[in-house]
Amino acid sequence: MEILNPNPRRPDASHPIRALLIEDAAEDAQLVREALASQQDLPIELLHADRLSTGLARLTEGGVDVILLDLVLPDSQGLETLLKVRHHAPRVPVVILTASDDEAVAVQALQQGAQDHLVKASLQTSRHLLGRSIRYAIERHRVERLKDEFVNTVSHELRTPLSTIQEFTGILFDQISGPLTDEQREYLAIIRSNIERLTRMIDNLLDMARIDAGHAVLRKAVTEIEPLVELTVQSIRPLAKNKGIELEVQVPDELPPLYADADKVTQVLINLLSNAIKFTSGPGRVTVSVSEGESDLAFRVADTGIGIAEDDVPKLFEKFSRVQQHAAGDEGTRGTGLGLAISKRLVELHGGRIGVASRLGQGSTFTFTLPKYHETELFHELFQAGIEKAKQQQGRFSIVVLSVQNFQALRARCGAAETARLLNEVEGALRGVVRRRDGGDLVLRWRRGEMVVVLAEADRDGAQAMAARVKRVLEQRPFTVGSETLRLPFLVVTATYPDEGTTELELLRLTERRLQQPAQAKGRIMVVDDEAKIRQLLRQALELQDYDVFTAASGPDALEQLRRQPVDLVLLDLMMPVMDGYEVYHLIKENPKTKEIPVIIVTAKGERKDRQLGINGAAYNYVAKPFEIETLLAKVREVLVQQPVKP
Amino acid sequence: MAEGRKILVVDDEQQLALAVKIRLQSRGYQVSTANDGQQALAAIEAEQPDLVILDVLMPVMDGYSCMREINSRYGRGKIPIIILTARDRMKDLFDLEGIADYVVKPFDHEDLLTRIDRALKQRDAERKAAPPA
Repeated sequence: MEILNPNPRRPDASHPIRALLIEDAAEDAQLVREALASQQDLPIELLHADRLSTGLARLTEGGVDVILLDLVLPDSQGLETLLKVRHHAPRVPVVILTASDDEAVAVQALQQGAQDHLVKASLQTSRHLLGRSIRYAIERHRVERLKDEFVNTVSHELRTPLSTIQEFTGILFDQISGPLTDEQREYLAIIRSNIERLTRMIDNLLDMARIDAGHAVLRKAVTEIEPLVELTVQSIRPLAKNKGIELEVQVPDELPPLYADADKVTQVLINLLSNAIKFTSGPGRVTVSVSEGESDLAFRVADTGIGIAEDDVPKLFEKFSRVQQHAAGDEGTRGTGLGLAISKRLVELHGGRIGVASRLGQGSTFTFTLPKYHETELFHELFQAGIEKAKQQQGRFSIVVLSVQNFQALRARCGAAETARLLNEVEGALRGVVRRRDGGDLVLRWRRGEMVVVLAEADRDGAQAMAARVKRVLEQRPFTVGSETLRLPFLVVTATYPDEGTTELELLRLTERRLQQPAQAKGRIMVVDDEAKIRQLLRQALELQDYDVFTAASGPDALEQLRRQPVDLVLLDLMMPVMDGYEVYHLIKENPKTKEIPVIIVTAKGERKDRQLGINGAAYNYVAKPFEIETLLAKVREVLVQQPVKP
Repeated sequence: MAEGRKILVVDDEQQLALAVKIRLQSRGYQVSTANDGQQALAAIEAEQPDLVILDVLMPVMDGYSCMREINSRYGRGKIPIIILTARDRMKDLFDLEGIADYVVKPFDHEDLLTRIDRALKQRDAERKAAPPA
């Protein structure tokens, strides 16, 4: 078992501690210099930056042992400053320098990852405090890292013997190695349930360590909500039944598919459900409900239990919170105290939020939201899911692609807005034709003048029959183009899995060849906005101009996608919950992989102009809401021209 | 279905391999085990199993190298391979071509049995369609 070397390097004159001071006030910087100079026994090399951007740039070079950080800087304010520093250099301890003795700020800073805090004024009278803070911060940071490594390693090591115990207990319990008496079975059942408890606790610890270290990865896929909720409820039903608690499920029929990590969402739901049951003494009721909002899907777990005191609510989602640990009544319900903290992190990683409404004695309602995606944003995922299903069932899967002939000419004639309206009309007509086919999935997506229909379980003949019908019906139907009404010529082609191709790329390329249309996109653009309607609008407008568009509903989502595939431009909304645009902007610009990508900020009119975003004072591109589509398109073209599209 | 079918279980955790063996035997399969990729190849040569369950993380020769070696010696997909991978190493699944299926540890034994069943059925269907020369 490898553990990080517990013995730190001792600082001496030839290896001084390199401290980076990020402070804009000259007098305060001088105070720090003098305090450090008076420390004979602590060799420190002091670096100084007077704004955050310079400080972050210096951190990129590496070799800094500790950061002394003033939270109020010309290019960044408050705890946001700390967050940015932590994101940028997660392995360097931070000492916050505060102007006044503000306890609240200090506590928050410590919770957000700072190792210590120091009131600047105290340096006037007690210089040694700075040296002390630095030593403490470095030591504390070292211990934190040791803890993380330990938890990780030990969790892995513990899992293997636990698996073995679990396997053989199962073999005994299932009477594979011989019959058992009732008593023996009962005892084995107790052993099994405790193994499960242990496994859960280790999983929790490991989860938390991974999330803390920033390693948690979401594996998102398109998921049906109803089966997910149903399965989760089923697994918890025995627990509820034992306590005489009624479980109610309210999931509406018509819900859009969920694009999320199903395992993690299930984890959160189970956490909330088991808490609800834990804190409700029978008889009582726990209700699970899902509702659709403008831009998100809300999951609610309401119970008629003991409720939560107002004072306890703020700390509820913190690690090892006392409120969670003192569970009502029985053995085996006390957990690690990490459940809600993990749930919060998992929800936020999806770009969602979690909260609670409760009154002592009257029960609680926990709600978490997840971003809602339109099916056209999930084209790739739905395509993959279709191929997967066909593969598993050893069946076929087809796409039908239709295109308006002479689309380019049409678009030039009508302009962006009118073309979009016309294509919506075509889409409506197409949906009408396809819907008459019984069974099968249906996804429509506009992609540079083409519309793709996905047909599940259709072989080549079936797809071609559908294509023929589509062409016939649409060519007979008159469409409104500007002030005229006329018939449009269509090209319709098909591609079938696995006969004609085995990947999404192959199938789409094949159809492009068959349509004999130039398929080069003018560029790849990522749209980041929490509002589903805006994403739709921008996607449509950009796709019709021959851009390939990717959408993200939150900062974490955008960053994850950017990690996997490069884009030529990012359109970024500033006002987003969970992780706001500023933070996303900084993370993009500070990552060597993505810092060259131009970003256009979408701001609301009247945004505080004094909040600068530029690294080294560089200006940034922006478009103010509400905007005309043409304005945005012009800006996009302008920015892309300055930075040529990479092949 | 399982009668007479031979399965080779390869995992460096001998006790876990034993547990899987006991489970599979209780369903009528004939099972042998190996503890690393090299041993696995020798066992396949000697016993001609109908299916191989292969752990990814092993010393001497890891699961992926072993899988590629099996496919190269006996023809791709001729011997169905089910990979066992730990939950945090899902990134190992960069090459799904060449394996019949994968199972994530810790796994549910019923799930594994279902996948074995499916892989064997698939192999039977392929053999029928294109009988070996």
